[in-house]
Amino acid sequence: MKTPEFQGTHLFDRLCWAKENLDGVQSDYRVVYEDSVDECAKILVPDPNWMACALQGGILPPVQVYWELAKDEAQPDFKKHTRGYLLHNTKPVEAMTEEQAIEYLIMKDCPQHVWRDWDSGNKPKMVICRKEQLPATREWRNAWKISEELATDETVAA
Amino acid sequence: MALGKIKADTLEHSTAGALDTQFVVSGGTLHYVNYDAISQATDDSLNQSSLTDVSTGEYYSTFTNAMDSATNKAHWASCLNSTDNGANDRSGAIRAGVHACIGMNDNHRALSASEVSFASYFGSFGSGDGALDDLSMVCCMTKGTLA
Repeated sequence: MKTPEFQGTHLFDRLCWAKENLDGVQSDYRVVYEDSVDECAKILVPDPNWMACALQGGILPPVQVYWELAKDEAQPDFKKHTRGYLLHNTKPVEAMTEEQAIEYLIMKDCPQHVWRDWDSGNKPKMVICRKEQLPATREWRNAWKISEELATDETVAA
Repeated sequence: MALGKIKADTLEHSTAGALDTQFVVSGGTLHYVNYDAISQATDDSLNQSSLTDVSTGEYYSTFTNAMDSATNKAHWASCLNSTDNGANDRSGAIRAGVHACIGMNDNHRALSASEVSFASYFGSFGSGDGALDDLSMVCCMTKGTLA
């Protein structure tokens, strides 16, 4: 199905169009990250309807738009968003592969201090894995941590 | 007298813009998620980019289209009293079933225009404390104003 020309259309209207017209895509990818040494690992689960939008193209705004809104919300005197038009008027991004969509999602929904600096400590703070690589049951969920023995060089993905 | 019917795809205000009537029909829900914590997957959603599974019974849902503020919105959370899609109850009447609420118990997050955090629990009884719990269906819905 061809995506309508959506630049200038409210982002929520686009999401409703996608919900009506696109099948959800359950990604097997999960993003595991640790943003505090005192807490267990967090698991970011990509949304199936969002993933369908990312793969379709022409719906989602560039990720930099979200960074701008996050900057606004981080201001101490923030009350309301006044630049929501960035979501609606910025040219939507083209279709992504599933892997590109996961990278986009990391940059949108993971804390910046995690993904910008994911490999600077004694062990990686963030790992992309497949769902089946997570523990199969929720037992000991609050003790889940990224393995300290995980290699992080480029051969890992091979 | 027969009921009248108005068919329109758009309502337009003279100065404040237009509204697609599908949102009137759908009740104005701006975000929802139905998360299966047992299988660790989102079963259904609207206006969510990802769900972050924080720990046992604790989650936050990030919006694709943010709300306009951190506080000018309302959320509802609920959950299914089961860990196997309703085949068996998780918590009987003696524990008063299960419940869900906005916010988290152990991993507090400030209110935000771009996400909502929520948690699910089973209740306490005479000789046992309640606790955070993972369930087959933990739901959260948002109404308010979009950015």
